Amino acid sequence: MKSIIFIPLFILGFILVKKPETPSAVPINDRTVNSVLSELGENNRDKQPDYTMTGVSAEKGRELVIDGFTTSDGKKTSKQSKHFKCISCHNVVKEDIDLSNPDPQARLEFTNDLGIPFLQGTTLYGAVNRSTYYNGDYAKKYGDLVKPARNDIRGAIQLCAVECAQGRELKDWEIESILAYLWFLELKMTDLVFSTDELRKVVAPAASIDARAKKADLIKSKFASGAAANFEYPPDDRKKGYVGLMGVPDNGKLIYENSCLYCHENKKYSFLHLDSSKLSFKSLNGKVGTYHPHSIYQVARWGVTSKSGKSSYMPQYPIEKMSNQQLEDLRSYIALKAE
Amino acid sequence: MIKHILFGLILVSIFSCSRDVVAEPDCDIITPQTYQDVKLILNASCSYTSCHLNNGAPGNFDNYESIKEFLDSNESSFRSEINTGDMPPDYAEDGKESISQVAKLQLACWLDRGYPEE
Amino acid sequence: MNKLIPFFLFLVCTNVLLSQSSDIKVNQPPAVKVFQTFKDTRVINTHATEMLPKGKLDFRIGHRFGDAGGALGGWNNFYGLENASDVLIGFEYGLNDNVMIGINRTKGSSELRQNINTLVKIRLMHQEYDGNKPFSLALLGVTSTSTMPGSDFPGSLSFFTKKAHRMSYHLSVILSKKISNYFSLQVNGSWTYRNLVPLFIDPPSDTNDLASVGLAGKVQLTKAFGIVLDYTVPISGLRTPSNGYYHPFGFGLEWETGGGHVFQMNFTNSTGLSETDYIPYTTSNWFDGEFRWGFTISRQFTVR
Repeated sequence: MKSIIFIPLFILGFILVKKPETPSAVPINDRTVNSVLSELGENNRDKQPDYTMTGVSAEKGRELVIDGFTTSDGKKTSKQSKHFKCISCHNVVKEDIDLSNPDPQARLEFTNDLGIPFLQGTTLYGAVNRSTYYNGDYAKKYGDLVKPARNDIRGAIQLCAVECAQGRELKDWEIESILAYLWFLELKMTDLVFSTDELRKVVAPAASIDARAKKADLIKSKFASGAAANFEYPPDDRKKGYVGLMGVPDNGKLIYENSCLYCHENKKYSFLHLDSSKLSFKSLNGKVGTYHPHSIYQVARWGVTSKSGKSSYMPQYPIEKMSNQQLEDLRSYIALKAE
Repeated sequence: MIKHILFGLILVSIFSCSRDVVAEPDCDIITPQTYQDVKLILNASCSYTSCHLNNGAPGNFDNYESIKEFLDSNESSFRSEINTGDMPPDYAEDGKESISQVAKLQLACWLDRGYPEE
Repeated sequence: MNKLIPFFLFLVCTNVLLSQSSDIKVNQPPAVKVFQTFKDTRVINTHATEMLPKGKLDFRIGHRFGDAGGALGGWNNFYGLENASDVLIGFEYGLNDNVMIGINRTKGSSELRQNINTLVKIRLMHQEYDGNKPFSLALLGVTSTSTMPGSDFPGSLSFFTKKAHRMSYHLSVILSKKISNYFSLQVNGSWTYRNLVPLFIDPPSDTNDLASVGLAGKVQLTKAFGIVLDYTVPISGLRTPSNGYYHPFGFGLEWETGGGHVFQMNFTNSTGLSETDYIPYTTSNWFDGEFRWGFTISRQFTVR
């Protein structure tokens, strides 16, 4: 009889005593990529913001990225750039479904579904997870300027601020704040695409160093360590366009509205105003086959140089950001609307 | 700061208002003005070689028909140029760079009378 | 109790529906404002409802040559190109997207010369596509101060017995509509006030107050090139051709260049560039060839 009394007490005790929580107990889908990789021995500490610096905060970083300025000691800072903000050329959300194989057409459709613009710059989402910046042909454009930026996110932020945005240098605390904000945009495990078999491997515990390294490699293979950037040439014969490609106007419409108009509508970031009127289409269509700075081949592949009185310039689209097919699609849409 | 400046400018503008007309010239103090009276002024200050004579400058002022034709279309300009002192110009011949107060009054009174010949 | 339940349900549903409708209003995307009813803050002489964007500084040069024809024009002075009836140099600045200020110096084509003109323009309404605002509406205020040395001739407007005689003012209500990408139209009602006015023969004096109405339009032929028209009617029984006064009328050819310039070449009978000059003092007649070539260069810089 007395022993029966102890059974409920025993059961109650079992419930009340908490098992110690280990990270591996949190479902992997709820975790960030960096937290999983850290457990597997990958080190990302050099990208952690320095919160010991006065004034550093993720909120200020967000303001700098979204608004182009923030506050310091209660006063507004000067705009980082008179011409651009970070979001002029970069999204702050995921813009590729498959991060391991970014494809411009897939990105165009995905960003269109999300209602975000289709931009030349790589999204800032997941920037802290990448290892290299200003990759590939950006060295041709910026030369030695990319050296401090290629393997250092802080260098990349500063180069972007000064060169791409044609603005002032960011102060150290501003860079750290931006970095702090970028950590809010780090990749989640749910952003990566695994097959069933791969997911099983990811979820399974890895006991040995070798197993942990393999698991880390598997995870890292699911996103690009750096955004590839290869500059493409305009077609040899601009009047004929890229050989063998037939433009699809419906796709061109998406590019025109989600990419061109994002900067050019109402002269948002440019001297040149574009809209959906026949005037704009006729003007663009008349210049397609030329070397004029309003030729879509010229500006998409080479960008434009700055003009006196306005030092900013249009960045070009590397092939990874706009394919030749997409450029032909844009051309066909402009031609159709110009009729 | 800019709002204060703007407000100040508006106040200055409001308090600077007046409602005046240019004083009517006292034509009674000078002899009746006909073309013959002002012709001396015109010949002395305007209608000589390279100026308002033989198309040296707009309008020939050496005879009544020509100056009347000019004044029929350009009376306001004529008055304005004389009143502001733009005419005669600084680069006119020596002694001809300006006309006297009395001469200006005579010309004004002649114009006010409709620039009659007689 | 059974009767109360439907009543309360009705109250709840009504409340929910009303909330939904207000939520729907809040969630509607804002109406899109029309862009560039006119390409510049002026049509030719007349101000348009266009404003400078916030932080933009506009450096302007306006020039009006001499008469192309008539007694003051012709081959003698290369159809007016060797004379300047008025010149404007100045700066304008956008305080925000709906308020701009400016200061400029004009040579002046009337008796009042060496004028410093200041202006404030406020846009009260900006036309929207498919919105509730079918027009754009702006208010313009201008003050002009002649800084010329005073004349010694009492019959002159520049005799300046009082300092206030140097000043003139102008107020305008401007209403415009972008009818399509190819056509824009504008009307304005104005009041020009001059502290000192000239004499007339009959009646004995001009009026310090001068009301006027204006009409302006733009026809956009291509993306970069358009034609503009500008016509002002001073409402004054004194300003008649028999008194030597004519309505200012001009037309212009306008190019938007790639680098932010708007270049306009215009032909107008008015000699003055400022409202306090060309509205009361246009004495040139188109039909006598007394029109002139003019141009405006406008360049915008981003200040902040």
